[in-house]
This record gives sequence, structure tokens and C-alpha cells, in this order.
Amino acid sequence: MPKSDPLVQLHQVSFAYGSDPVVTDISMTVAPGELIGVVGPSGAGKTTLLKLIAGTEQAVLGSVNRPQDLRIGWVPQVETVNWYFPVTVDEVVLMGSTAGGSRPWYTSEERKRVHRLLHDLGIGHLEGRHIRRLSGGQQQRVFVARALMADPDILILDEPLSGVDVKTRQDVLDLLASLAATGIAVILTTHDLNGVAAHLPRVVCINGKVVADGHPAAVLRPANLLEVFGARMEIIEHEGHPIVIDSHDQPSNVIGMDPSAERSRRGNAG
Amino acid sequence: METLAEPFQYIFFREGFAMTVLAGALCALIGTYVVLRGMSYIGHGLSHAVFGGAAASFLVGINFYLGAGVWGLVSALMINRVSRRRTIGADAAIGVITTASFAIGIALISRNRSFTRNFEAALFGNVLGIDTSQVVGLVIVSIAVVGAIALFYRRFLFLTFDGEVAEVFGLRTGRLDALFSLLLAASIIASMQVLGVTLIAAALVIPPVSARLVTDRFGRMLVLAGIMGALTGGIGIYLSFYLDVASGAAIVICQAIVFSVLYLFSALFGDRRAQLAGVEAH
Repeated sequence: MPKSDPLVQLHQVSFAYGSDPVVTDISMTVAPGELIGVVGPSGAGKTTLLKLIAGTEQAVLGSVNRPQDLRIGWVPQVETVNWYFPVTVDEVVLMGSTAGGSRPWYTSEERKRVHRLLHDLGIGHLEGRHIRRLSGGQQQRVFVARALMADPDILILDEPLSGVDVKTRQDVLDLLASLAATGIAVILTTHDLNGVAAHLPRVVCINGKVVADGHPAAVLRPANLLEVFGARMEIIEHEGHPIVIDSHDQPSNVIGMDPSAERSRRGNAG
Repeated sequence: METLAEPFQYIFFREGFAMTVLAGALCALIGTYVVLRGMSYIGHGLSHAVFGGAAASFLVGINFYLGAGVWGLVSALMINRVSRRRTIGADAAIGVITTASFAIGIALISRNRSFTRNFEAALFGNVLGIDTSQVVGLVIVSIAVVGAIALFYRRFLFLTFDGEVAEVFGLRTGRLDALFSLLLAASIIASMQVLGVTLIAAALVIPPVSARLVTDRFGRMLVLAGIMGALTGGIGIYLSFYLDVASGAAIVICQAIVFSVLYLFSALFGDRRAQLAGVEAH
């Protein structure tokens, strides 16, 4: 984990929509160069946590410390994008520098930068194409490019692995790892436990509160997953990475679960 | 040829023609944002809401533009505010606020029948009865809208495409929303005498959706919508002269015909073109 000063610090943060609490007592930090996966069931407060980090939602209780000039790059869920909106790839990417742009028109420097970014992300040939006419992986890269146009300190991605195939998932996670290696803090939400276990050095498990935070091998434990998802899951190891599988009747390979306690539980249930 | 040019011999027609072309382009330009933000109903609602302000300003004897303008802006801001409550939603917020405002206008008119005729023009449009202050108002609003779009083109584009994310990227979306509401209310008020309250919604919506059928680029859609709005405005009032029908109705019918032709064309050829462009497997 990088040793630099944190970019964002959440200290005992709680947030509610009206009288309905969404997250409570969240404490965590985000440092430069970190690659963090936030996992949890639907409605666990994952997107709210991202918004608290980005500063678009304000904590009801607790404090969020972040520098005033912190630059955020946000990659939205693909389901929330209006793919029929009349914009091409380059127009979307240029939005990334809109807030910082001092002129009402696009400068040649900005256009060159878009060209370079798209080329670096392997989609340079799609510059003038409408966003609807892209594959899932290409669409993700376009929005990553837009986020990078803002020169972000933190890159936030809301469910970037949702609905993508295995190859695209690997490509996206490899891309994010390479961005984190440049010093950008990358934080994403996902339901894909094995994707984060294999690719991400830090996982935060939440379900209204932080249940576990750390290396996947330490966080992805049956007890934690039961608390977060309310479902029994087992963990097996493969080449040093934890692999999460649905619970079976053979607990012999399960890490961190006491077999006698398991037998006792089943006996009580039966 | 002389017969075709006959209407332009009359100064009232030349002025009306220029105003209609301008109002058509203005509504189409601001309407492009309205359509893409999924707020087509707001144009319909806001034009009716402004009617209440127009009636009130006549009654208390203040300037029409000031009264209707403030009323329209407050209505637009209230819609923005109320529609953020998820339990209500934008469409219901527009329905409640604008119909209540329209009802106030009707109530005021029904108690003061002396100015009923003025409001027939406001309801259905009367370009030939336009006076100098209204011409000046339309020109000023048109310049302001074009200027604001040029100045805030990038910001408005991001706000329209994805307002929530635009805020994360540092755009002051609340201020931009308020500016947009002001421009929309001003455009509706300035075009009211030309197109009429009941037909402004069509002028806001039809040219942009027609333009959308022929382009995938935002900038081109904006320009094409403006051109279509201006052309159908000019053709509509020209035809109304010969066909002896209300100018607002003739303009909207022209716009509907253009839309129908383009829709048919895109249904026959558009999807095939998209398929040929293809999605690259990657």
C-alpha cells in the first residue's frame, strides 16, 4: 500500500436520505496510487460512499477531509448513460476538461490530448464514432478517457465490470492497475468478488457500514461475506488468490471456517 | 414570379416574416437542449405557466415582459426544485405548477373581459399584430440566447448529457440550470405573440427531433434544428398568407411535415447506415 499522505479521509461518516440511513460510521482513507474495490450487495451504500469521497454528497455525521483542489474523474455506470444522445467519442472525452477550460471552444491542445489519450487506451481509431456504436469495453475506455482529461487525483468508477465479458473485465482491470501505477488513486464498486480478489490489492466490504477493509485474502472470508451479503460462501485458494464460490457440502477446503462449528450449525438446522 | 413575391410587398408581412423566422430558430435552438434533457413537456407546461404571468401583469399594469418573465422564471425554478423530490417526479411537478399557473391566468381574464382579445393573440399567436416593443424583445432575447449558447456551449453540453457527473467534474450545475431556465422562459415569452402559447411547445420540440434524425453530432443537431426552425417558420407564414389559416398553425404543420418525411427516410435507410457503420468487436 502506498505510504503517501491520504487524498481523502473519512472519519466516522454517516449519511442518510431523509430519515433513511444509507451508511453509518464509515472510516477509511484513500491514498495516491491505491487501487481499491468496494464490494457489497445492492443497496449497501457503495455508490453513496463514492459520492461522499467525490464530495457530491455531504456527510450528515462525521467528517470528510479532502483538499479543496482535489480533482475527481468519475466513470458512470453504463446503465445510466444515454447512449442515444448525439455525441461522438471525441465530444464525450472533451467534456472531461470542460470545468477547467477557460475558453468556450475546444483548443487544439485539448484536441491533441484527446487524440493521444484515445490512442493510449487503444481506441484512437474511434474518435469520430457515435458512442452507441461501440462495444462494452470500448465504451468503458471512452469514459475512462473523459475522466483522465480532468487530470484526476482520484479516478472513481461505478460498477465498471457490470455486464462486460471476461476478456473486457480483464482488460478494464489491467488498465486500472496501470493507471494506479502512475499515482492516480483508483476506486471502483463491483459485485464481481473474484475479479477484485485476483486483480485488486485492497478490498472494502460494506453493507451500510464497513465490515472489512484490507487485502483480499484477509477481507474475503466466509464470516465477512455472510455478514455483508447474508449468503454463505466458501473461499478456496488458487495461486495465492482467494476464490469465492457458493457454499457446498464439502467444507474441507474452506479457509477461515471452523469445520466443527459448521457441522454443529448443520446439525441444528437439520 | 410576381405572384409568388406578392406578400413581400406588404410591410406588415415582411416584418411578420422576419419575426417568424427568428422565433422559429430561437425556439428550435433552445428546444434542442429541452429535447435532449427529456424535458419536452416543460416547454408545453412553461408556455402555459407564462400565460398566468402575462394576465397578471396586464391586470396590475406592469410591463408584460417583466411580469411574464418573472412569473416564467419562478415557475421554471419551482419545477426544477419540486422535480428533485423523487416522490413527485419532473412530469408531475410540471403538471401541477404549470396548470395551476395557467388556471390563474384564465381566472384573471374571466373577471376582466376587456382584454380578452389580447389574450387570444397570446394563446394562438398573431404575428401580424406584433408591435415594436415585441420585435425589440424578440431580437434581444435571440441575441442573448445565441450568445449564451456560444459562451456556455461546452458547459451546457455536459450538463445536458450527464448533469450529475458534470457536477463531480466541477461544473456549477445549479447555476447553469438556473441560467437555462431563464433563457427558456425568456424564449417562450418573446415567441408567445408570434407562435401562441398553445403552439410554442411544438416549435420547441419538432425541429430538434427532426434534426436528431439526420445527425449523430450535437453541434450539427443544434445548427440543423435552428435552420429547420427558421425555414419552417418562413414557409409556414408564407403559406398562411395564401391559405388564410393562422400563422402559428401553418408553421407547426410545416414542421410536422418535415419531421414525417425525415422520420420515414431514417426508418427506411437510417438503421441500415448504422449497421454498415458497425460495432467493432474489441
